Amino acid sequence: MNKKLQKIINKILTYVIVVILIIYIAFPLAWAIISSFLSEIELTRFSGELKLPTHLTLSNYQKVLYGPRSDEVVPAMLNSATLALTTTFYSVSIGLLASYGFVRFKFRGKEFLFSLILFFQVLPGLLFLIPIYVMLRTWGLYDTLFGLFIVLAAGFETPFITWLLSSYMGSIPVEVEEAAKIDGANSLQILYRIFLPLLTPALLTAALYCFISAWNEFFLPLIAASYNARTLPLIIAMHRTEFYPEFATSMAITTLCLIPPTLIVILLNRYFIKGLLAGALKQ
Amino acid sequence: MQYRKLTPFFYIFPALLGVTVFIFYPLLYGLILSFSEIKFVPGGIILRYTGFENFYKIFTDARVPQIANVTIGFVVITVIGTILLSLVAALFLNQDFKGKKIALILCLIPWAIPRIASGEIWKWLLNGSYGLIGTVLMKLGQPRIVFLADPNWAFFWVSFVEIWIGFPYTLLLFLSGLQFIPPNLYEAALIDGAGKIRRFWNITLPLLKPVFLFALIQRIIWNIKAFAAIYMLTGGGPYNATTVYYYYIWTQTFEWFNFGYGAALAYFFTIFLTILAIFYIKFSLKSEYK
Repeated sequence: MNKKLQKIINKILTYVIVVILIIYIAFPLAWAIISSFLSEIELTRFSGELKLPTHLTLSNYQKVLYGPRSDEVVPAMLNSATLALTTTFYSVSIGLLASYGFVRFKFRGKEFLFSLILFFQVLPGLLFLIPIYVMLRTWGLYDTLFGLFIVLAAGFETPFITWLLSSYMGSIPVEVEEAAKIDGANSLQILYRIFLPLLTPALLTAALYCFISAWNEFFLPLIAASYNARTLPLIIAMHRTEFYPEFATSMAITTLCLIPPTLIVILLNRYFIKGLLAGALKQ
Repeated sequence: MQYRKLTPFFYIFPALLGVTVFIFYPLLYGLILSFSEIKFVPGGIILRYTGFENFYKIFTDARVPQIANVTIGFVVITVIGTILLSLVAALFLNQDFKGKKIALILCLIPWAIPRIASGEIWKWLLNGSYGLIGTVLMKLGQPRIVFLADPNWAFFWVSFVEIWIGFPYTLLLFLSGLQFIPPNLYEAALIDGAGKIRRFWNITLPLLKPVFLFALIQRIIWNIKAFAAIYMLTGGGPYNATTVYYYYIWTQTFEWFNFGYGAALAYFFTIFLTILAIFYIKFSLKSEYK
């Protein structure tokens, strides 16, 4: 076949596939956002009979942010944000220290402990969560934000962030460290003066990842929270058993829930693409 | 000079403490739970030793065969679906074209948003009375189907949504793998007269093998633990048609409050996962400790 023709066909095919891909991904998200800006009646008419809506409205967001549903939703948003921020702060700090200790020193059992971290990520969360539920109840931490925080940050996110930062830690050449050692710096100074500046993009990537992970966290609050410590994903989950579902309102809540991660990914995408690849493969 | 050797442990200690309290200890506690039964009373809990009873229950539970069936079907379908979709998309996205960056960013979004939100959106799309998908089909002449109330359709859609959620990650995996294939290999093959399919079969696939295996294992491990979408869409499905093993553990523990049985189910599940994990770890370590 003519080479030029082949190239054109290839180009067309590529664009077709890309367009299909974009529709495949964007369509449900666009639908959710559109739904959230329609009134309940117009939405059910649009979705149920394809009758085009006549106007957009902010009434759902009003309802959810300072109207009748705000008692349910606003504290949930605050809890989600608090949980995500505190977890990120804790996990990245502790994870930095831990990955430093793991990667830049030699000691026995290092590889074993490292494999253990990987192993934990494979294990089903439920395996820990069943006993953790009992533990939280026994310690009176059930349905408390602190309870959620400490389990999420210390138990789940920190090992992951440690692992994530380790590959970055390992990519810094030994000579940099040795030069500082000759100058008489101790390990803490080396960490603070040398590694920290070098690792800033890595730390940012880890922080973003941790924030998104903690914001999205659903399983832990499902088990360990019910009213006081409710988070936004949990509110969405509670819609499952609604008697008279308000679709437009729930789409508004859903949109609110997906805005932070989406914004982060869109604005800071280069950290993700690099970060995901660094975590997955190192060559 | 001896205390120098302890320095790394100071750095590792906080993380290790957290892991000990919230991972090691629960693992042990869970093991004990699986050999007992628990009752919540004001002031604490009562633990009653029951031996292997919970484990025998797994083999005599009438629901387990169906659950195993559903689980295997679900994992096979979602893993194969995700991998095929990701591979094809990665192959096309590997070229340079206008809007590539936007496409990539868009691809990240289903992975980034909370899975429960995705479940909710799809649930609305599939709603029995007003869902858009049903409406469109209706306009095309079909009767309105209440997808999530039919065992087969529910299973199909739960798998579909799980693939939708999971494929960005696998896509990026494949993309990164593809980028490490030096383009001059393709050029050399072109000069030798190799056609597109030949180039794919003899260059791309073999060089992608490590990534492919990694993605496969990672996907299996991940999909076997799928929960949020199932929870939101079907709650286990019409007549357990979408109850996978992991979901069943949750139902037993937190809906029926059989903590001991739930723990036993979880541990049993873990045995299988451990075997997978060993391969996963071997793969990951190979690329970590260069």
